[in-house]
Amino acid sequence: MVDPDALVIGGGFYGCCLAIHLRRRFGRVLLVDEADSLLSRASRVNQARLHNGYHYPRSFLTAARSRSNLAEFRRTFPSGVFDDFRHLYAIARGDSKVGFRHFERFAAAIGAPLSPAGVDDRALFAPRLVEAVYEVVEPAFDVAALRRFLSHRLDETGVDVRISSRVARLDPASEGVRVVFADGSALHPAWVFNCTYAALNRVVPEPPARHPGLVHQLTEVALIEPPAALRRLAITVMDGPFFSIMPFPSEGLHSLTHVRYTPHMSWTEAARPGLDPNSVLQPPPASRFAWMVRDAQRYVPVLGGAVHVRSLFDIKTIPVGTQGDDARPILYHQDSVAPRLISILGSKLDNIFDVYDYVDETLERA
Amino acid sequence: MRTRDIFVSVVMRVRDAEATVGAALTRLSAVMDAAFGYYEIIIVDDASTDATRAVIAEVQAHARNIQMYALARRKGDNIALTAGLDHAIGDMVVMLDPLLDPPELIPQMVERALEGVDIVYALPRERLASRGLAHMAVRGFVAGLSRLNNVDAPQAMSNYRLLNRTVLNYMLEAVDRHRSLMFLPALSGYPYATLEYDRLPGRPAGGHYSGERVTKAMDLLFSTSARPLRIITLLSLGISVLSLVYALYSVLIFVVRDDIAKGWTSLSLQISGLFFLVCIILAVMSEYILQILEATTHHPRYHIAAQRHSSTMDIARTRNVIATHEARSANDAAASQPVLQQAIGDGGQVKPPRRDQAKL
Repeated sequence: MVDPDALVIGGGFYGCCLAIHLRRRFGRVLLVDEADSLLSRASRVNQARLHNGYHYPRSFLTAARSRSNLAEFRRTFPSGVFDDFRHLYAIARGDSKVGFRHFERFAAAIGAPLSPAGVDDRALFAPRLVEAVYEVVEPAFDVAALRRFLSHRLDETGVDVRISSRVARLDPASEGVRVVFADGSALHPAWVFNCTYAALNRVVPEPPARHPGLVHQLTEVALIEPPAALRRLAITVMDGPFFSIMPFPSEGLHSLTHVRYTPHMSWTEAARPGLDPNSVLQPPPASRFAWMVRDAQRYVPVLGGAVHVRSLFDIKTIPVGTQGDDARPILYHQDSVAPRLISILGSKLDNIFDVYDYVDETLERA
Repeated sequence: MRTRDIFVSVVMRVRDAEATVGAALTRLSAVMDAAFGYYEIIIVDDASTDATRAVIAEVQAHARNIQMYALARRKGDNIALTAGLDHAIGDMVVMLDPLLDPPELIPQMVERALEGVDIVYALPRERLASRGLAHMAVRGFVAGLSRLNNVDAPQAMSNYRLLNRTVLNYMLEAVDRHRSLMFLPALSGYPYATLEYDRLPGRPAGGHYSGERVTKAMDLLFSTSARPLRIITLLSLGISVLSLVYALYSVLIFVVRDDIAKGWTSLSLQISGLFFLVCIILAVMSEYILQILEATTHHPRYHIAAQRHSSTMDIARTRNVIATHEARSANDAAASQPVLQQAIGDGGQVKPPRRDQAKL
């Protein structure tokens, strides 16, 4: 096989988008993924929420960015946006970090549409625990539609895609990086973009001192058959240790996630250097649905009728030091010994557009 | 085992117990893990000033399903436990003192509850039998409170008890639930069972501050029952009647006697008149306060423990037939069941019944 100009490791949403972007500049771009389909891991196992700002009443900047990113996401991936439901945001009484007046002012300030929920919608909530309910505009994404769209674009732009292909290790080499695959074959691309999210530090060369600090979380997204009253509805309870229920378009179900119960365990890579994040997924842990639904139905009693279909487990990875807030920055890490190895830790899908500028700058400087 | 499918929450309060809370929590966690598939342990730290929170965090690093809520200010037993109960998500909730109450009893309590009772009280044996002053005072107080409120409750009750979700929801509806917390399950009226147990040697995990017991007793007395206020109304009315009698007596003396001191009659009338007025005002006001109390505490007027509908049909079975005159006269003799007739005015046009309708 001929060495590509650029190799992208990891066929998640970020890897696919980046490969398509790189194809404008390079003649041969190769995208590899160890799974047997694209967008099968963290891009799939999440709430499928396309943030429109409402989630960040304590950070105007993050909220404003989300809103502009969503607009661009809609333009770029129209088929991936799922709009066919109404979204309610409820402000919890007592334990919430924002009051309803704060939330209303905040929504007005970022220009996000917000209207008080109607009588029928309000009646879904227990008044003792919920202070106010609003109807908002915040869509979900359909990961299956995104996969179809991106596969088509990869094909159209002429990116080579190799699935079920695992990278064993990367060695610094003159002019680029030597990539050794698990089957023993090797390639020598000029540029390597490591978009492997939770496995970000697994493939890059030692010593760990050169690795970016990461925090991993084993998370559970419970897929449920919602009660009839919630079928075309999403509910997000703000702002603290609460829950959300949203359509999960690719499966025709709803996702139930809970701030307290969705993360099963969490560790920093520095504290447990030998632990491969993926090894935690086998065998799959016992579901916490029982915890999630019991807490959630205190706020929304009809949720007692939700039926647990199955749970998706995966690793969520964020840079060390960003656990405290929701800003979820993208990590962009250029290796100090092999400067043509770029590791990118993606975050929310709609942040993808911020990566392109960085990549272009790096390539122009070289 | 049935208990494995029940979600049990354990709620407790601790304060300044760094030396003991770690072992107690580990022991509780082991019991819960062995007995239940779904559970949570809620521990409310009542603004400890020592390393209690750090000790709890250490246990949390290896034991699952433990949640800690730390209060910003010391609030005492009742408010801390209320905070815990407010956050509990279980189908059943167990309240206990981690240093006094052995957790090994919890599976038994759940078993008892599954037999169909809503409340299970664990009674400390020492309190049941003891002739000690403190124990007798507790029993006497609970007995008095039960009589005042006309409910049934075990005299030797402690904080260690199990409540199911129905009882907990009843308690959560009362805005002043922290005052009457210990007695609210009894007030709910739901059926209960009791178990006996031996307390662990030691001191309560929360400690007491001076006068706490008296404050708690007063809270319980006045928050569970409005009878004291009713008694005030009656007392005021009684005194106002007496004042009136006294005023009449003064006038009578003034008329029949002429050796009374100067000014006695006017002073007596003034005093009795004012007392009459003040007592009437008090009586009226206390009645209104009673109403305000009822409105603001949101104590549910009643709770329906169960409901059941009669299982026969509401309406006797009738034939859905409109009979014309001819048809009726023809069928009159044969009709063994009542036939529903529709008023059609004086001989108005009625379509003959369709075959399938008439068949029934």
